[in-house]
Amino acid sequence: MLAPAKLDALHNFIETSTKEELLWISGYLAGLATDGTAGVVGSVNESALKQQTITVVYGTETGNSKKVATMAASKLKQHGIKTKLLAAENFKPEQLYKESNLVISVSTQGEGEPPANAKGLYDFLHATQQSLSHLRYSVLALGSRSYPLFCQAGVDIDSQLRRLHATPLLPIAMCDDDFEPVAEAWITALLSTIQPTANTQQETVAQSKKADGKKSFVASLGVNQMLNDRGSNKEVHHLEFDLAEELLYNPGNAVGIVPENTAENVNRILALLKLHPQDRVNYKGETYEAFVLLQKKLSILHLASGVIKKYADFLQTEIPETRMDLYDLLRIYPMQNESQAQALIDILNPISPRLYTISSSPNAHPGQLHLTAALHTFESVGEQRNGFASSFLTQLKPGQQLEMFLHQQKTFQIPRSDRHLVMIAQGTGISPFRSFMAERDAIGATGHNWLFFGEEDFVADFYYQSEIQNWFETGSLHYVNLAFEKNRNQSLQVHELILKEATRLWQWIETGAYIFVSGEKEPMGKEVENALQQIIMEKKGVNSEDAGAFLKQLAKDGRYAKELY
Amino acid sequence: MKPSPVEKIKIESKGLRGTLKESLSNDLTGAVSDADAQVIKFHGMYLQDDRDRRDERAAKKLERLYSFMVRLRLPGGNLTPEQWIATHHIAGEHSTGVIKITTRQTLQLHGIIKSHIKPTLQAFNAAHLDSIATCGDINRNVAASSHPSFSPIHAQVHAYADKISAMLMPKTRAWYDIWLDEEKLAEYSEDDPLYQDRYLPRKFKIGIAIPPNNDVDVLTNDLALIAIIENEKLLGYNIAIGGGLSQTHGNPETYPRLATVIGFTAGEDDTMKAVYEVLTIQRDYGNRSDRKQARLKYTVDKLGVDFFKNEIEKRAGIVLHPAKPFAFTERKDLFGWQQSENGLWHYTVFVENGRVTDDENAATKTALFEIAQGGNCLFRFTSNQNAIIADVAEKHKLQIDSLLEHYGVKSFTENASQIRKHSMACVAFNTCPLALAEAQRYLPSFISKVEPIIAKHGLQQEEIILRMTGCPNGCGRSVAAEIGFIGTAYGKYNMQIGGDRNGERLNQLHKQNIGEEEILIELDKLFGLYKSQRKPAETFGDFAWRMLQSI
Repeated sequence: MLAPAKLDALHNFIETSTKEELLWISGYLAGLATDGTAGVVGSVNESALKQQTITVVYGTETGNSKKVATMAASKLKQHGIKTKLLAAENFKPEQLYKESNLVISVSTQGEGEPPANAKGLYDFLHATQQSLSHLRYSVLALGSRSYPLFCQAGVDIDSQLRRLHATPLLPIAMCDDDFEPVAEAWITALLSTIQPTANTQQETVAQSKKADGKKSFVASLGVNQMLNDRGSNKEVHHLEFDLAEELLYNPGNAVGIVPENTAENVNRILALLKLHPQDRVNYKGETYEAFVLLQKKLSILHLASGVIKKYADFLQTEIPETRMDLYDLLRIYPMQNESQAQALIDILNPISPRLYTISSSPNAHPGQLHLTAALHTFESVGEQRNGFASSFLTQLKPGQQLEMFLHQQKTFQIPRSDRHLVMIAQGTGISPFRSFMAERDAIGATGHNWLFFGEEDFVADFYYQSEIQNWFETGSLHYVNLAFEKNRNQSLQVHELILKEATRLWQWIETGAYIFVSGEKEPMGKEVENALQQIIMEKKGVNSEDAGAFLKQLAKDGRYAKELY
Repeated sequence: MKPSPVEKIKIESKGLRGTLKESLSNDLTGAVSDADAQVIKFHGMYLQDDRDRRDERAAKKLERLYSFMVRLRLPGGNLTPEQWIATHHIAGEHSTGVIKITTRQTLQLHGIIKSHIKPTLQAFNAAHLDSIATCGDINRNVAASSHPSFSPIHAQVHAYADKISAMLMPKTRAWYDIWLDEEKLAEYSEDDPLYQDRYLPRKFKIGIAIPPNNDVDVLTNDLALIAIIENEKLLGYNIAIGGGLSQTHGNPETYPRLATVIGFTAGEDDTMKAVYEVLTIQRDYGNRSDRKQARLKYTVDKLGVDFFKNEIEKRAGIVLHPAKPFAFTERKDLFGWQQSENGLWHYTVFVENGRVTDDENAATKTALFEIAQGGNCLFRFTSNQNAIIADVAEKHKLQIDSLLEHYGVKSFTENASQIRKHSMACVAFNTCPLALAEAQRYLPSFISKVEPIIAKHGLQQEEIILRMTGCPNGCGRSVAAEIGFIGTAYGKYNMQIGGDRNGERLNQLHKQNIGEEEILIELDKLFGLYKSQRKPAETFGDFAWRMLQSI
């Protein structure tokens, strides 16, 4: 009765609604259908909207605490409890004020010290005075009785949390060298403590978050972390922005960013133009300070040949057809007099915004927005150059403010949480899938997840490796296939991995799986599409034309989505 | 008592296979599973990670930088020039490039990432080398006195080390199966009467010394054999049991111990039988619930020496004779050229911390490689982590000498101070997961600070043995040194003094948990006292011991 797109939209909507909301909606719709007035059943219980989430944090030196934390997180997830698993170094202490349930697994080093990766959290708890009365917690401490200060780091964390008025879910558990029996008992106890409350609040996923339109917002950079390790040929940055106010977005959305020119470049151009930074100049009917206009509005790097030609006409000089920076142009072909500056500005193009797919998830990273940006390098006129937008982004410093706007990518939205999902990524193509995975992990999605990922070097270029490992170990991510050119037993390309997994992949497609592809159009996007087509031909016994049509239909149904660049 | 978790892993390992094949093909991580990290030790490898890079990698959301250390099985520490060349290339292609001579006469390579393990071991196998049982709860590399000029029976003893090593190998073909993809041999039985399916409760080390030089530090081994020679004939061996230096800070139940001589066995066959049964007794009686009480030394102290003697005689069907007299007079390598009775020449190269590499001191790696290419020598490694270019005929001596000269090896060996040449450190940071403090990376610069103090007191000619370990587990044998440093925390050490020159008396704790500044002040004080109050020919270790006893 409904068109597939409408039906999907309806499903999507239903899925994200609570029981109470659905009840309300059914009354509303019934009212609409019968007499054109919306019926009213009463408002949704606000308190039930609060989802119970457990955050499991581990501080580890030898890996034992991580093992226990992973076991705990995976048990909690199996029982349908929303659970986040984080290494202590990735847990920002300020986050304590946003969490409601915190589980900490921590070992003890040397003379009662915490492991290096938990030092930040440990010190913060000792220093802060701000109450944590909203927080419920449980500590599992690992140690060895052959040392005098047995489990001291865990004991300290426990007593600090008490001092800050947090409520213990369980008394502290302390493990000796043979930690497993105590850890297992602790996990069981934890489950029985949490479960009753968790179950009643479980179904209250209420995030009918509609992505905003093109409204722009300002975010300030918290973290700029290069993800590649030493020795890599790549430079990919993980950027964490703090949002001043809540931003409603969906995994799969992108943000638009208008990169800025460097002050250094702007100043030397102003000098050539004989303009003072504060001089007023006009551009497209508006008046700006010269510096601001050049920094934020005008494209002055790698000028289009059309712009250079206009300048040549204007100067009535011969300039060979090429691309160059405005600075070089003005240096080599100077203006004849100062009054020409405004005329030059008139012929320049505005900076166009660049889109970056968001790599964070609204539920896993509340109050934040993450981007994964590669420094783009290319060669022009025999010269190695960095991309304008990507060098701007990757050079941002923590604390810097950046204006951006949200951009919905209608054909690239996270599938319903009960649908199986195949994610195929090359390089920074991983960014929407980190968002998908974090989201599906955070909301306890029931659909299965399968990731294909390819990059250059296993050791240096495995973006979000530790997160991917956590999702895999705790059962949120079901299959991972990796294609690294270096440091692997066999080096297959992503599309070759897909062909190798043809049988399982086809099973997934037949059971309604969604296939998302993200990365460079050439050659990866093409090759992946060919591989998919080949699998369809083989498994369905059809020719390439029919296989192509099958893929087209999948795309139409929203089950085959690509974000290629 | 409940068996330790490692016991279960051994028994369930299907002949030391574990799930290594699955771990190897696991794409997501450069590590192997926890259980396989135990199993892989029996294949001569440790899973390690670069501890310097942990924070940085964590910030990059990358797992730890995992890699493997591969240790060769080299009974007596011998290598042909072809094998040295192969090792040189393998090190360059798959590891950090540094060839590390260990404190037990073998070679190990560090920094081999998971996907490079198989090519590494296949290349070693092609050079007739393996890494079977060089780590793990099993008999490890058999060490034997290094220098061919020590005695005409040197070759005989080395052949014997080989025999013992072969006798105590595990019967499983897992190493060949996993790393060389060997087809399973249908008719081959993996039944292992010695190790059964549980192997030993803990590591097991055997050393053989040819008196009067105790260069192998023989009494620090679980089982020590001391060659008894009369009229240049090998009569048999004194057997000593229960050596081992590891201890745990804060755990008084653990302690270092030198082996106790329990008797003499005449001839090779009886000795072999006795050695074998010491292992079976340890297998049957060793502590399998607490790994910190599992070494043979605790079994010996628990059951008593007499029990061991009787049990060995009963099990082996031999008679343990009263121990023969022997004497150690030194514990050192003979640097530079030495000639043995058969007329062949041997050059002992000083390799600082056993790290064969090219650095600002000497291009040792290149020199050894080019010497190996000449093919006119053998390579031997010492328990003091040095290399001997051995069995050089008179006519090849000059050519080898000029290579040593050309690459700075000779001048480094000849000019390094006595204290530097007689010092030793374990690996510690950045790869050893147990390290609490620096050792190998720090010792050279530390010695540079000790040298002026030695000079100030005019003690440059004293061959004082100084050793440093990053933790109390004893790989660098600090407690068997005249001056020992045992890491307690980063930059802090327990200072131990009073061990003897020859390795027959352990040192004692002198100062606890001190840093470099305090250590240097203390050394200055001690050397001053030694200079002014020593008896004639008294070693520093003996002086310090006397001093400690008189307090």
